[in-house]
Amino acid sequence: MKTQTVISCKNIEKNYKDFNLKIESLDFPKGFATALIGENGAGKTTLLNMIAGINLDHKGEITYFDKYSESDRESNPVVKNSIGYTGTGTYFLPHWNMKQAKEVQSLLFDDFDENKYDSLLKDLAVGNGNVFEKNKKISNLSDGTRTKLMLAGVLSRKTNLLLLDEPASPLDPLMRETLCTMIRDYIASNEGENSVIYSTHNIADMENVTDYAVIIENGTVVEHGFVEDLKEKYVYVKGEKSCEEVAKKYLFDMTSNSFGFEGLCLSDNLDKLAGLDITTEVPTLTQLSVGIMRANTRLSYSK
Amino acid sequence: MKILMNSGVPIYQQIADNFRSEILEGKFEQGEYLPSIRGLAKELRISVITTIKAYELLAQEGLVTAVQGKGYYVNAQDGEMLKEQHTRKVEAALTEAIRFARIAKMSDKELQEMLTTLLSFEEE
Amino acid sequence: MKKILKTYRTFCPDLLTLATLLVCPVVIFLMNMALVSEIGYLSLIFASVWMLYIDYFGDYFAYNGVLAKDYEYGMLRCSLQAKDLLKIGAVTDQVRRLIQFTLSIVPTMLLVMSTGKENNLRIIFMSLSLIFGMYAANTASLLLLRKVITYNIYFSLGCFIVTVLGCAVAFLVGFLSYYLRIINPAVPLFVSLFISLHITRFMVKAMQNNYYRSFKEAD
Repeated sequence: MKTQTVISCKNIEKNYKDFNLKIESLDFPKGFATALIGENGAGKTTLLNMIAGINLDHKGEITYFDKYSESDRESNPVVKNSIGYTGTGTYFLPHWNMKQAKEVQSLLFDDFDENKYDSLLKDLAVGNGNVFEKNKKISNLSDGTRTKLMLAGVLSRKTNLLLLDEPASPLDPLMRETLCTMIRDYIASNEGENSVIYSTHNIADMENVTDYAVIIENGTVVEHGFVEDLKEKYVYVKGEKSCEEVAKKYLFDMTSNSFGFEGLCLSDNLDKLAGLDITTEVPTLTQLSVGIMRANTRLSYSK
Repeated sequence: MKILMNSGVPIYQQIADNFRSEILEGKFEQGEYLPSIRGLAKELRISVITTIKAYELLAQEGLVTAVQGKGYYVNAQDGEMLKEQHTRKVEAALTEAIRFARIAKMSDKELQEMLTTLLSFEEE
Repeated sequence: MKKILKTYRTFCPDLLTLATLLVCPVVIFLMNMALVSEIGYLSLIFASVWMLYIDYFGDYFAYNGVLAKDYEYGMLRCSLQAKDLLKIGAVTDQVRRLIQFTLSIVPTMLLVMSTGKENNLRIIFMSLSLIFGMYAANTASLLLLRKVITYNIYFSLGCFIVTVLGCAVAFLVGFLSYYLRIINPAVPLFVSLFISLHITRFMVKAMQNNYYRSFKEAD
């Protein structure tokens, strides 16, 4: 399947005290929702910040929409105006109130639609329409409400790429469903020109909207691909205790108990498990991610 | 179209099966486009890649053709394929009928008589 | 012009603007009306020092923390327009600051002049020196205080710094120049004008530089 690229990363490198982020080559497909999956501190936020242009302290090159370089992004407003970023840290200045937050967005972004913003907040049940709500300080809002504010803000602009850092974490289950619907609506509009890249721990909640997965472990990309392709590349195996020793060699992240074992396995290795008392099933994205995240360590161990 | 999320049958398979039946039943005109991949994903609340996989499956079977930037349109279905599909359905239904007949301990002759009677009802 | 006003009002709450440009000058004027007959030209010192305290107090609700080493600037890093907005915000804030000192000192100056007890020309020189001198002292204190985010430290440290700087200006302008006549009144005026210009530029630059710094990570 031919896909175009929305973001292309080459030779990205950033060194920290206790770990290094190193990505040789990574392309994000246009028109799809990509999930950045990884442990805390794996480098997801750093990567997103680099792409959003919020962190300029790194080596390597990022290309936007197949034509703009990073220096274009710093000089041509079209790049940053096409990107909607929501973050986890200080996004709104702490002492701002809701009214100031809205005003700043309309000053920063020419295509900010104030009416759409208000109606989105209403749909997301932020505030109760009280006129005094405007003066409510951002720092007094819950994490979930702040996230809703950020989402409403980016969706009130005309963007082609949404970069969402852990958007689901502060949200309740009902709101997570709404988030997935918002992402689907965004991708469905603009005839395949819109893309979304988000980092998440809540893989299960986002599974029904994720098209492409990038799994980062310890600063490197350990696996990436379209979810449907990954679900063919890997298989989830469950088996009886008696086969455990043999299966162990080919399974990542094997868990076992007194009744048997289960774990992720490369489909190509299935023939090596032929004849064993096992069942196979298509892995969920969660099983894929957890298995692959630990794969690196396991493989080097068993070899 | 009803998609069962946890049925064990992959979602893309269910979608493909659904559209395959509709196409072979003649519900789509030749050249008519299937729903857009993103629109369908939005309606069914699934990821876009799943709808693409479903449509690609149908394309491999020759039922639809992909057009870059436009979507997937339905190919001309020749009568042979339609006939073949329905013939297979008849065979399956009859096999099932025979199975029930065995359970009910009906003889072959009784079964054939029943078929003849039912066919004569059709003509009336 | 509309954008400039809107930017100013986004960073600085309307209540603060109202307090510093209207309420406080009025209150100070009324107080000095009662005091001028007793303390004469010292009411000018009184007015300017008052405004010094009010402003550092109020800035907590506007630009608190913008010069802090780890201030993130959040959403402002998402648009190329932000650097212009910050510049406009910083400049308008300084302009308002100058206006507020003018509004608190000039009415009192007229009051003192109306008593007839002092040399009017020297009063004018002193008033102008106080306006620019206190403005410069205020901006200087904010250069440090805008790095402080903790409520307690801000107000206690601020009180100390403002007092020291305020006294320094009052001493130079009021005591050495006006009272003792050791220094020619033109000197404090030109010195304070000079410092005001440069410190304004410095403040605006500092805010912009901190913004650029926020794009790099503190390891």
